[in-house]
Amino acid sequence: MSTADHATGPGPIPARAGIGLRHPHVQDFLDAPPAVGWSEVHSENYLAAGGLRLAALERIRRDRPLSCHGVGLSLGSAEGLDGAHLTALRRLFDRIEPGLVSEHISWSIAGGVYYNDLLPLPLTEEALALFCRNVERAQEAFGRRILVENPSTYLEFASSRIPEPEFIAEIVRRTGCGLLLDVNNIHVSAHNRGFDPIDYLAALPAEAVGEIHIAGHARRQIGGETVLIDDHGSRVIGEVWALLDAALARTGPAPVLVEWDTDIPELSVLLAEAATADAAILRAAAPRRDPRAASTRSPAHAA
Amino acid sequence: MLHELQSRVARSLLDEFKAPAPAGLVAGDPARAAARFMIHRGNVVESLANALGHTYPAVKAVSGEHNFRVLAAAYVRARPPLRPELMSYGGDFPGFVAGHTAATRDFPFLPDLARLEWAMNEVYFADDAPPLAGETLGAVPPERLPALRLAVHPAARLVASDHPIHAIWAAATAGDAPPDPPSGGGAPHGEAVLVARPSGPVECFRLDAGETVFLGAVAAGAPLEKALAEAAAAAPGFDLSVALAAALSRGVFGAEVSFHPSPNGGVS
Repeated sequence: MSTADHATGPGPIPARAGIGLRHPHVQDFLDAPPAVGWSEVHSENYLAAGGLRLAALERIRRDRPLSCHGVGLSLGSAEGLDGAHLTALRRLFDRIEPGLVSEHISWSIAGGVYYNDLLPLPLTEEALALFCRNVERAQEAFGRRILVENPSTYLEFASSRIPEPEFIAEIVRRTGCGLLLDVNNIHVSAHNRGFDPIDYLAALPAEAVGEIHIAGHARRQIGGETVLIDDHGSRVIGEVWALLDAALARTGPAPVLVEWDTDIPELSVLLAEAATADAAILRAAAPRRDPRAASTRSPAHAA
Repeated sequence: MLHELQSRVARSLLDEFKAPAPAGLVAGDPARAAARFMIHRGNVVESLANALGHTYPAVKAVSGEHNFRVLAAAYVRARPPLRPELMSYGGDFPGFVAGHTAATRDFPFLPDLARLEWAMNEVYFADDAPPLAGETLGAVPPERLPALRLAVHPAARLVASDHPIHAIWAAATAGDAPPDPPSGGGAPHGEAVLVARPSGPVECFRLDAGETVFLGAVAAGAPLEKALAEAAAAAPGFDLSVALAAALSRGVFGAEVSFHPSPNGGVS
């Protein structure tokens, strides 16, 4: 894993903080590349034949490493993957040469309809085998290893039989793919489904983690109880920063991405969140006298 | 089994928000599962309606926030996307709007405004093919000009309407009310718009009657001589060199030209 302070041009994603690049900040990036190690875009937003959007991305990826995070491949679809979509993504990756390519442990397509949501899978042997087949097909089509992201969930299926971390570890073991560890998703799911986030984290294969996501979430009253919604619409909360420390204590320094997708603020707010994440990565890199302290300490200025 | 489960859950996603949750989902008790499943129903319908709002900002501005949400949600439920890249979603929204009497009663021009915005969306994402160079046109021998066929650039669209669609679009984009219909109850004068991106950003150019007929004929594959005759018939005083210069500067034509076969079977 690279620990370079200054990554220049396209290439591997460094073990530093990055930010999710969304449309409102593209012009900021073009005007003056901000002080952040790398950025990540949603692949599907750039599947254009041409035009200014794609041209902007080609400029931005010249300045620093870029990661492509997919939201439309639907790796959990029983009907298999869409060949035309695989081809379109491959064309984008050949053009942009992203340092990382990732997708979700979820599904979005059934009967050829794309629902634009990350839907939960039943955690069964059938779904595990299907998911692994789809990951293998995607890795073959892209000619590279991909990362898959642990889901944020509100519901479970009565038919689920495999504990989620075990399901994920098995995907990694069978396909050789990497893990995109989303610590906000762990926090959200743990609250909504009533499990211990530290136990969940401990059961995941730390050596497979190629990237970590952090984000804010919403608290909503639904059906007389508080449900956490993974809306990426606010600052990262203290408990999630603490979970990031716990994750980094297991993985060592790793690329950490700040995601913000609704009510997108000024770029400076994202850069401040990234600076906090960079501090967490630095702590993980420092020699530790007391490992327990490193895994529970949260940044002093975290909300 | 997974196939059947996903089909069932998927169908249920487009039901009304308060419909029962599909069987097989748990979150403690059935009422809780139903409440939690509404989160997914909301994600699907709201995120796709938002995507339509980004593609159709002028239709949204004219309709008003609430009416647009109702219209967009109805469209999402009737015609959910078949592709995972949302830039391609909403191509038949103009037709859907045309069939929606509640939307067209107050604003009869709304389907045409939607057609214009879809053209803008297509132009924005179109291929960066080279445009026709003036030198290419200049190198065509004068005797071959009548048979010259020009191809429309992938990033150029012509949208004609019976309504003053350019003025309506410009007003909606500026946040103003739609222009008043002509006094005396006469029919509004129509407008045609060329959508192109000569310097990068998408632009809308209002065309005069001669340009409209000329570019329409060229787009339909007519050789220059025929397009010119049609334009001159529609607009006496039509000036071919002015129209060609404007079209060239706006990147309307693709780089490759061809020639209409002559009546004797050869290439003129």
